[in-house]
Formats: sequence, structure tokens, C-alpha cells
Amino acid sequence: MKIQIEYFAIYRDLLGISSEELEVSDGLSIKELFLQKTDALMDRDELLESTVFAVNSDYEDCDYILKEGDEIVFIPPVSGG
Amino acid sequence: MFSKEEKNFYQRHFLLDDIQVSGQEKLKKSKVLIIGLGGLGSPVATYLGAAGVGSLTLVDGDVVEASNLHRQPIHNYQNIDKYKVYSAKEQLEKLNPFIEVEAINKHFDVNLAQTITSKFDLVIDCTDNFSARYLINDACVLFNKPLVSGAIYKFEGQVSVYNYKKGPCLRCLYPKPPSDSLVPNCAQAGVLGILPGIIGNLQAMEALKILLNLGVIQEKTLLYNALESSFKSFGLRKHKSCPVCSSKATITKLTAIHKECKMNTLKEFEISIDQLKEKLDGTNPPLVIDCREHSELEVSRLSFTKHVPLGEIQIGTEDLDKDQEIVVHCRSGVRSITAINLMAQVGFTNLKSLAGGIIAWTNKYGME
Repeated sequence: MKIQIEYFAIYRDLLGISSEELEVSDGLSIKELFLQKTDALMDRDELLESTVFAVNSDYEDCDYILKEGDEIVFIPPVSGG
Repeated sequence: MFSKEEKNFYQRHFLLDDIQVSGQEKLKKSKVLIIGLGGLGSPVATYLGAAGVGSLTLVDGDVVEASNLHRQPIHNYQNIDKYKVYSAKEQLEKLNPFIEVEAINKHFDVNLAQTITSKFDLVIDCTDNFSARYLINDACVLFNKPLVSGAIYKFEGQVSVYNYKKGPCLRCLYPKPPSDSLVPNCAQAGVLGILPGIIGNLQAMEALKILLNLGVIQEKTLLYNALESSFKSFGLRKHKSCPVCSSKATITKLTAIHKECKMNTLKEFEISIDQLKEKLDGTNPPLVIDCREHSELEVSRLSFTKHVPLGEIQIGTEDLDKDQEIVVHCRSGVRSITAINLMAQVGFTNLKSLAGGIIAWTNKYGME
């Protein structure tokens, strides 16, 4: 199934892209998706712990199971002022 | 209640059915706490002052620097080195002589939070670090104050209203603060000057709506992406086990937030200016690396340093002996922590970050 991911703030820097459309297997959770996408990053566990995920128009827990057409946003904490 | 001059000043508000004289009176009686007078605080204070919020209290312990001005237009070139709160107060009093502005020239800490939070109708978080953000959130929950929070990163920003009528708070979303070194701030990452102007004005707008009980107060996070010219918003929900605002709360009084961050463990990776001086005067001085950008060297540079900018820190140090003692410094001691983390990843074993950076060093030892 197809999903859309958008990367907010540091994720755009860390992953080098701002968004992508992706073909993923049925039954994939947000956490599994996150771990796939951040495979090469250091501090991955701390990042997961401090990141929230929005799906379509609401925040969702990372055990949310993705559905066809979902639009997911990776939102890290942002502190600049 | 309004003088003839004030009526003239607020004329266009009076014309709005949703404000009129009664709404303007509400604003005049309102007390708002603005924490941080940088990129976000500049528009927030300017527009709330102009709108006629009767009492503004400004809190910030920093002074104006030239590199602030591209995004902090409440300050000006003549006020460089002046405390930001006094610089902002001066500007606000010129703009609107009918409001009261109180300036507190220190960083928001537990003591200050404890003493002043209860006095306000509303708090606005315009700070630039997680320790302050979590302390402000906790204070607003414990003193039951609505909080309008804004944050920026490079070309993106977000605005949230927390704890409005006991609604969701920052910790419902992000229960624990991440380490400040995980996410760079403006000094490290850079920021487009106009961005905080937009995000700060969105904060000011939400603040005004709360004070006037106007429209729909957003229980959501608004994300703005300047490069894509897009806004997105996501509904906020109270978390049933939020550590500060739920029935299962474990945080029941204010404590210094940095204890929860990595700061404790960071101490062992830091070296003080005095310790470094002693080592440099000794028989086996460490190699000192300056990890600031090229442009910063023109302002100040220590003669005994090797220069490797943060962005090239792994490549630029690959020929060095991985076990030799190395001290990394930046401007104030934040970027150098990131630098030693990056160097540790490629095998360096004996690293320290200079606490306080070149600022602390030159204050005591000059540019020797």
C-alpha cells in the first residue's frame, strides 16, 4: 500500500529529503516505519522517544498501524526561539 | 477609562464588533508574561504592546548581539550589548506610552517561576531551549495559566496553545525533554530572519484571542513550512498519563529541568577555562580545536587553536591521533558538545568540551 511521509525540522536535515511517497507492507506500525527510515542515524532510540507522529490531521501513538493513503508527519521537538 | 489620546490610538480596534471599547478595556487590564525577547519575543511583545495589553512583563537574561538583529527587530544596532529586556522596554514605551512594561533581566528559573507565574493571565513561551520550555510548561500547569508556545527551526515553525482551560500541555505530547544537544538551536542551525516574525505573530494572535475570548482557541499544533508555503494543523489530546497534567501526575512542584536532560552526564565531558589554562601551561598541553564557522574567526580567535568547523569535524580531524587529549571550543560551549559527540563516533577517546566557550575564555584570559 502507498503512504506519504513528511519530515519536519531536523528530520529534513537528517534524512536529506522533505517528503516522500512510499510503498509499504500491510500491517506496518509507525514505529516500524520510523526504525526503517532512521536505520543509519545515531541517537535513533532517543530520537524515537522524543518524536511525535501525526497521521492525517491527528497525533497518533507509534504503535498505530498504517493504512493505505495515510499521510504521516515525523515531528521532532523544536526549541528555537 | 480611556483618555482622548488612547481612544485615538485604539480607534481601529473600537470599530471591530468583536472588540469595541469593552474588549479594549479587557486588554488594558490584562497581564501577560513574555519569556524570551529574541526572534519570537520581538513580534510578540511588539504586537501585544501595540494592541494595548496593559501590562507586559519581559524576562530574558541575554544581551543584544549584532547577529540577533536580522530576526529580532524590536532591538536595534545602538542597543548592542544592552540587556534585551531593557532594549525591548525602551522600544515598547516609544511605540505605546499607554502600557506598563516591566523588565526582568535574568533567565527564567525555578525561583522566578515560583514567584511570578501566578500574577499573569497568560504566559507566552518565546525561549530557545528545552530546559526553559519544560519549566514554563510545568509552571503554567501548576499555576493554571494558559500558555502560548512557539518554536522555530531554519525554515519551519510551530505554534501550540497549551493548558487552556486545563487542556493538553506540552508533556501530553512530549513527556520528557530531549537533551539540548539532540536538536540544534538557532545559533547552531541558522534561521531565516522572517520566520520568527511569522510564528511570533501567530502566537500574539492566539494570545489576543485568549485574552478577549475571541473565536476558536486552537487545541492543536500549527506547523508552518516557509519553503513549501504550507500550514498544517494537528489536534492535541490530553495524555491520560501525562507526568504533569493528568490524574497520574508525578510532577507536583517545580524543579530545575536540566536534571532530566543529559546535562548531568555532560559535566564529565566538559573542562573549565581554568582547568584548560592549567593544562596549557603544563608540560603536555592538549590540542585545542576551534569548531566555529569561518566567519566567526574574524571576530575573535585564540592563537593556539586548530580550526575545524563543526560541519567538517569528522573529516577535518581524520589525520589526528585518536587517543591524544583534545579540547574543543566554540562560542559558548554548546556546539562543541555536538562536536565531541561526532568525534567520539569516529573513534576519538580523550575529548573535552570547553565550558562557556571562547566567550568565557576571553573574558578571563583575553586573546592570548
